[in-house]
Amino acid sequence: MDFSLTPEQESFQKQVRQFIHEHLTPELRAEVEREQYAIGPLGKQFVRLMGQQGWLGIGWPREYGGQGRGAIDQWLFLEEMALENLPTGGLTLNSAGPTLMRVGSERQKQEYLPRILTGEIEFAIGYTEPNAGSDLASLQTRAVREGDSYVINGQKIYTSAAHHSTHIWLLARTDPKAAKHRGLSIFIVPIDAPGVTVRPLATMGSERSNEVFFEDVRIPAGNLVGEENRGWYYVTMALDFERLMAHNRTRRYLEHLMDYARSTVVDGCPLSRHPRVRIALARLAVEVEVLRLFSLRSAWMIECGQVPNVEASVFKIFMSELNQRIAVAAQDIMGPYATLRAEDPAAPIEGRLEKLYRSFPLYKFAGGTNEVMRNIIAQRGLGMPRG
Amino acid sequence: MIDLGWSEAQTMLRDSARGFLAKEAPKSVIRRIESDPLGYSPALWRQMAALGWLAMPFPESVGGVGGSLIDAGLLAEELGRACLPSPYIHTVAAGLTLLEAGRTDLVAKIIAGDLIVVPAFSEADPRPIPSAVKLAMTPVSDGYRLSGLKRFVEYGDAAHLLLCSGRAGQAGSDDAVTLMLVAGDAPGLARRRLATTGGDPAAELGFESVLAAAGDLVGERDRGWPIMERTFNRLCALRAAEMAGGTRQVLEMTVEYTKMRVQFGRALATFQAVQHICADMAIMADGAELAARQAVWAMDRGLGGNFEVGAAKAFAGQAYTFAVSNAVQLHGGIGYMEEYDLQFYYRRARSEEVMMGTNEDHLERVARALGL
Ligand SMILES: Cc1cc2nc3c(=O)[nH]c(=O)nc-3n(C[C@H](O)[C@H](O)[C@H](O)COP(=O)(O)OP(=O)(O)OC[C@H]3O[C@@H](n4cnc5c(N)ncnc54)[C@H](O)[C@@H]3O)c2cc1C
Repeated sequence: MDFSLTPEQESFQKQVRQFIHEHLTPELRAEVEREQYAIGPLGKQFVRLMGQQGWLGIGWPREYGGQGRGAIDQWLFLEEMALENLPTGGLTLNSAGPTLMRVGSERQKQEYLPRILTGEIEFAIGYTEPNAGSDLASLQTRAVREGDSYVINGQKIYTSAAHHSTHIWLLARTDPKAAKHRGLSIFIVPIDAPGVTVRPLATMGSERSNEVFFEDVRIPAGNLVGEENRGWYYVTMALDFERLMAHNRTRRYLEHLMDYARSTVVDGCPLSRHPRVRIALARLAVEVEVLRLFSLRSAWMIECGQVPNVEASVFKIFMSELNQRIAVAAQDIMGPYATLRAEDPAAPIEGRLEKLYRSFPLYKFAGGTNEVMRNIIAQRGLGMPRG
Repeated sequence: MIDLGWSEAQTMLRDSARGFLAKEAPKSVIRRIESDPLGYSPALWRQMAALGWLAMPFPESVGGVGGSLIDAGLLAEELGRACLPSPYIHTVAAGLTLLEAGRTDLVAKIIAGDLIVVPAFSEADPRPIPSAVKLAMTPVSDGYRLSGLKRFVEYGDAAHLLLCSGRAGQAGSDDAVTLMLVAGDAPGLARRRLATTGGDPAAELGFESVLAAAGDLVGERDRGWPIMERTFNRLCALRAAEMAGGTRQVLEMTVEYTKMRVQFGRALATFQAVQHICADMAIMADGAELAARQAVWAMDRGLGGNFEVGAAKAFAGQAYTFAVSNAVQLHGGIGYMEEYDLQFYYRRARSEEVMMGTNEDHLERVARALGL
């Protein structure tokens, strides 16, 4: 057993830090804080720069222009980026791209993969519909084959990246008669295809998400990914590529809170010296360490050729609920100062912990809700029967 | 004799208040109020006065309706359910203090809906303890000169009158606090609305040589702490009632939503995992309601109330934030959207939990009340 990095991994980590140090301007930092989940113009530039240096495809095989690095290296990379809240190419790079490598046609690989690596192409994930969230397989958006095309009609919701993406990675129904998981297919739909309408949705966390409407959208049959009616299988495969997750975004919130405690004097001494605050912060620090170990375990399993499935659910539940615990601790420690938004001149730590309160709910249900994740742990992990 | 229910008259008041707020204060109105610099609706305020809400806790001798603080608590629950930003509980709490100080002239204006008075107690150190009161009230020829800062004063920038705490004496004991009325538009007073999670208008008040007349003293100089504490307890009891109302509303919205929303071919409400979360919310909602009503009752009876109010404010705060975060979870994506009503409650719960003393501040008050 060994919890330490190899010398090569350590020097790789240093290299990543150096890269960030060189390219993280104050303007980029400000934009990243503002946008949080979307990517602004400077963020796009940064992503393109990473692409030029080969950093975007660090985990991609060499034959597709990547660096072919192992899961631990990828994890180190994601952790360093997360610590500065920097974009890493998201699901296009880490989920859709790898799926295309496995099941995409030769033409699709040539058309999309190199441009994904340079940051020119970005997919918005179009899975969820108004009536199909946790029960995704019940979705109703239809794709009908007509000659050399498919014609798409329907609606997606919470298609977060749609307003700054080039394409939609769409899950639609191709066989309405088959069992619900068996009649779905994946398509690549250009965002500017006639009949696609993107409408903004504002969230209480001040992010932007979208609704996307498809009205007789005609796309070439060649935009079908893999085989028809195998979509559910590909979505599951794509999910398996997403199991590598960094914990440092959560650590960052705790560090903000510790900074506040160190620099705020109450009753003649810094809050960090008050016993109740010390213990609260120390407890959270222990939990952040456990979270780090959960993410390390996933990386290690992938490095060993395994797919962390239950383990990824363990990480996601613990991460999202730890974010909530940090937001709650912030209100105990900061009092009403925890409610001051970034735009208020009196707001401590640029209002980041205020924003955490408004956005932590998202982590608890986006990309699979914690209730569904708990079902996975109980049923797949512990072998308990389905209800 | 123990009676934990509303009287017939109170039930009617509750129903009419709920009907009024549903009609006059839908979320479209609240959305507008949140982005309005005033932070409350003067039109609604006048309607509330016409309905007699502002007369509620005052005796008939000064033009009130001779109700009780309990009736005001009932209305506070309804305001919490509607999530309507309004300086109601603040004006009631400050008004009762003015009544006790013999300022019936001001009480008459409150009842008529012409005067909004809010307590301005909290400062840069926002804890509700006497040693945190620092605003300087320097005696001058025929009054006082006020200098310093108040922060997190709800409706502080819209109020006509501020009931301020400060220090007029030389370094005395912590309890040597003085209470003074200051006009909202007094020269030297800089008011700034803070940008908060809740969107409810808390303000920062900068005092630079603000003059107050000797006649604006409330109670006696240096002897204001007991008055301040009583005002604060009434305010917090009513705040607990608001939070209890919000908690109940959010629970009901969630139960309704999960009964309607179908996934996996069945209503979400049929899943035990969903039922258990709702059951936990119900336990907290019941507790918040009982604790808040007891606290309002204790203040109505003229009991000290430090224990009951501390318990109610801390428990209702915990219940409300527990309820809103579970409500958003059980609504999924829709509950996180700006255009959906739940987010008002989600944000408000956070602000209300930490304003007027955080949970920990109130637990500290409970510990003291227990003699610890
Ligand atoms: C800001 C934001 C960004 C998003 N980005 C994207 C995106 O880019 N692309 C995309 O496709 N989707 C996206 N989503 C959608 C997200 O993945 C869904 O919100 C999520 O899958 C939950 O679906 P739902 O909102 O319909 O909730 P529902 O499925 O209606 O769930 C509501 C509640 O019921 C519970 N529940 C459901 N089933 C069960 C069960 N069997 N047992 C117990 N409890 C259950 C859930 O856990 C949840 O608490 C985003 C959502 C948001 C809010």
